[in-house]
Amino acid sequence: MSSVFAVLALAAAALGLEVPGLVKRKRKRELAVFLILLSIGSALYIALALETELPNPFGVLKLAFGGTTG
Amino acid sequence: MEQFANAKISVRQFTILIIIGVIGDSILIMPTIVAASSKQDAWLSMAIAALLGLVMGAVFAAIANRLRRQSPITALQNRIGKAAGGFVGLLLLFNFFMCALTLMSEMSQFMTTQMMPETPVNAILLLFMAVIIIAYRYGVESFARVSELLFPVFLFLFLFMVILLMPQVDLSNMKPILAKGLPPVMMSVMPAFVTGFAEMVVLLMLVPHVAGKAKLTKPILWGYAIGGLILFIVVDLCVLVLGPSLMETKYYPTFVLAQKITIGQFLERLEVILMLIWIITVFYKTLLLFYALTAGTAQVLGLKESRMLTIPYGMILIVATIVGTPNISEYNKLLIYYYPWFDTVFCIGVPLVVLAVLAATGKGKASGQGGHAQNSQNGQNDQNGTNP
Amino acid sequence: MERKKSPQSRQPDTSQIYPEYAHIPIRRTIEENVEQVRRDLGESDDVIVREIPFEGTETAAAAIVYIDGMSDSVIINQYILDVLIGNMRGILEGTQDERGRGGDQTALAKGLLVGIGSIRTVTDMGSFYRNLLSGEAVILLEGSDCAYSADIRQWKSRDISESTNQTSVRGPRESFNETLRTNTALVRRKIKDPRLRLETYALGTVTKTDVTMMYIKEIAKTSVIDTARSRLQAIRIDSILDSGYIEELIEDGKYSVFPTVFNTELPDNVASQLLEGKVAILVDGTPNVLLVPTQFVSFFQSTEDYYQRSVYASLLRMLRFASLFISLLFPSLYIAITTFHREMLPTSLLISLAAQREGVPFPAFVEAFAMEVTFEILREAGLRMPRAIGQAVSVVGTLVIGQAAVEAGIVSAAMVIVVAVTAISTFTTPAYSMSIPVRILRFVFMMVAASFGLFGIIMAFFVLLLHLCALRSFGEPYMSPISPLQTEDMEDSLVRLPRWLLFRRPSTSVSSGADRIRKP
Repeated sequence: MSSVFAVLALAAAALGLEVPGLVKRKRKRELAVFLILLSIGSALYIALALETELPNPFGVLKLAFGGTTG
Repeated sequence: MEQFANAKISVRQFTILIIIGVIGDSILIMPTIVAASSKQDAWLSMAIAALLGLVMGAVFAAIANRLRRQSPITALQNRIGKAAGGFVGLLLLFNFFMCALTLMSEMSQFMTTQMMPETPVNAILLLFMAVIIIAYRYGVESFARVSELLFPVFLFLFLFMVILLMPQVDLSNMKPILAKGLPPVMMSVMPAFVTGFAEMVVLLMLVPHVAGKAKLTKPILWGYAIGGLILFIVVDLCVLVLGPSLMETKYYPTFVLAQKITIGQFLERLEVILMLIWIITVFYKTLLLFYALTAGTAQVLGLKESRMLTIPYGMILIVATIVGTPNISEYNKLLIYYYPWFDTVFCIGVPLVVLAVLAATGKGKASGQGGHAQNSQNGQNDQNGTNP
Repeated sequence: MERKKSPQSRQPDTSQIYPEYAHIPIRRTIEENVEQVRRDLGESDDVIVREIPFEGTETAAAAIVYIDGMSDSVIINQYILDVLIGNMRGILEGTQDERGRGGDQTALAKGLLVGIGSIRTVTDMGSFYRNLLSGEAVILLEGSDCAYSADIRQWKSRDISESTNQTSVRGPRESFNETLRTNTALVRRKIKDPRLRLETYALGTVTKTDVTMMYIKEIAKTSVIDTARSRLQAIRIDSILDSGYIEELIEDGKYSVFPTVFNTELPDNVASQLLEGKVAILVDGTPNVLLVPTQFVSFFQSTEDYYQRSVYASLLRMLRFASLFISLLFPSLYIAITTFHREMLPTSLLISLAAQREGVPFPAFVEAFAMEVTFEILREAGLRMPRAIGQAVSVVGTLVIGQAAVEAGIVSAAMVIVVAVTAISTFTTPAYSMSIPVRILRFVFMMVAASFGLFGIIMAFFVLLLHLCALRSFGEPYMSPISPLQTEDMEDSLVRLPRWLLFRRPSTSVSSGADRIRKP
């Protein structure tokens, strides 16, 4: 559980670091992309912390190239 | 990004970054990969791979020279439209992401198995990622300068290691030469070639920052040549000092190599030298990939800033790394058998497409200023022209 | 506002410095003026007003206003008064002229000018106070609407002596003192070229401190000169009591622990850097002179390097860089190796270290941290103590406490050695301002080493390098000539090549790569 808090703290820090600047410079699009990516990242990290089964990114490779072995 | 748009790195810094990038993680994993099938002829595979690498370098140089100091993504967006260009960009980004994953996996595995087993992998990755993010935020100029600074140190350490190992070289380890003929040798060439040389397609993302307007053929080829040479020496040493069997069974032959260095009393301390060397090279390659990923995302999406993407991407990369590397043998199998195909498609295939597009559309732009627009979106795209 | 440019120092626009007084004109009667002065300056008893009455009357014909202690009263008594009394007739006649500026008043001014050499016409109270409070004597004339200010500044200041902070074994010992004019003269004596220029500004709204910029016109880059000038002029602060204030207000690396402005007390140091194209900033009231732009390597160069033989100087330079590494990393390396990487030590050393740490209750990091903090306390205490006891305290502190701590088993002997060696290496840096970031970063490295071992140290070192390479000082990269690599300039950074090889000026500072030594 503490690791979940750590992730949230990290996300909060990221928000605090970036959002004021982005707002001041009126970067709406950038802000949106940032928030989306941050949410994805935080969600993934929390999922990891809670030990959920996450798909292996390399699995894509295996699927695509699985038939061919060097 | 506004803050980076004017950052300029010198041609020399560009070359150094390429050299360090080519060496990248190969210095750790190359011997294993190469020896997988060619065994004592690994040095031959490496040599052939390096030569092929030069060819690849020439291809990248051709692309680079047509870019006119724009990033490949922006250039494509300008020439074939935002959507098509963006799509190719996404392919490139996907490549950078996966490649970064491999690097971080290797780094974390090495640290947790050899150097700092008690430290949780999360912490190591966090620290590493944090420094990468900091390096990104300080800007291209800054990390290019640091590479220039560290390069002599790196060379010195490398030569130091080589010289100290000379006494232990046993030429008989090379024999029998071509015992099983050429095919096993050639089988090893591919993974070696793509891992070290094709993966450096990321250098194209640095092109917008290289100072001047001169052609980039020389720096790129020199970078590949020197990087290839260093890797060749490394593989040679592994074969000659460790013998082919050792190369295969241990996961990190270069580390074993370093452990074998002795000067009188100070036995074990010198693997630290290798650690310093590879931390520099792995860090830089990862940094270049991260840079390409982050800056590239901004280019694909037409964003004016990319700094804010650093932390989210960092988080995603860390999670993906941890999830992607449950254990070493799995990872190694992946690396040797599956990943080279990925590299071939994305690091050779996609760039070739890029080259074709650039070659086809290049002439149109040069002769008629926008009058020969391929796509009505060309006019608006010019504002993003020099987005790094 | 008429202002004669005096040969000594060009004074900036007074309306800016004394806005509250600039609009008040000089009145025609001395009585009114003196009243004004008393109103504005209060009854301060060092403001002296000497009135010279018309012959035989009580009304004042002229008055001299000056600050006791800042003006040369000898000249006032022996010269100015003579001139005034002698010209009394002219003054009388002058007062009959309506405009208050009769031909005879010009004669008066000229007469004074001959003897004193610097007379300014003052027409408003702003300039009046400016001159008065700088130590000049202002002469009021009855019936005139302008006054005359005589620059006869004189006060007691510290003799030119050796610098206590920057010692040299070979080379000039003179160091700056607290008077601006003395200091500029010390620099002038080293560089007798007409291209040496001075620009003076009064900074600090309350202190109105004189700050002078010095540079050699065709050697310093115009961009640097302009940047320095604009930054100085942009300073808006109450007081400037030392060059340190200015340093903080004009520096580039505001958030960095590293100094991006160089400071020195030695005129020869200033002169040699001026010759490299730097701009010097001298502040009245302090012997510390600033120099911009500066590079990282400058802090490891001492003026003596240039007076001693080059081989020796080169070796010393390399020693300094080695000491830098030691003072920064030694404690962290000790912590990292004893905590995470014990296998790196040769067995015999390992056994001995292990034996020492046997009874020590604390982990290596706590040990190191405690020792370093203790040392910093001792160092600071030694500085503030009256000279007499200072030495004794340091010796007592280090030896006795250290020894006792080891014997009590609180720290290991090896740790004491580490801390001592580290501390001593910190002092090899010629420039004190560079030892500060090192001391601070040492603690950061220790913490990183305790958590992440060697890997952490390397990563932290990367961050440090990134930071240094990103720093700029007045537009020039901080880490040149090492990075971006300029091999031509390397001749004087890590080593010092013999003088007959140092023939080009550093390209970062100079507008043209002019030659220092003409080949015969």
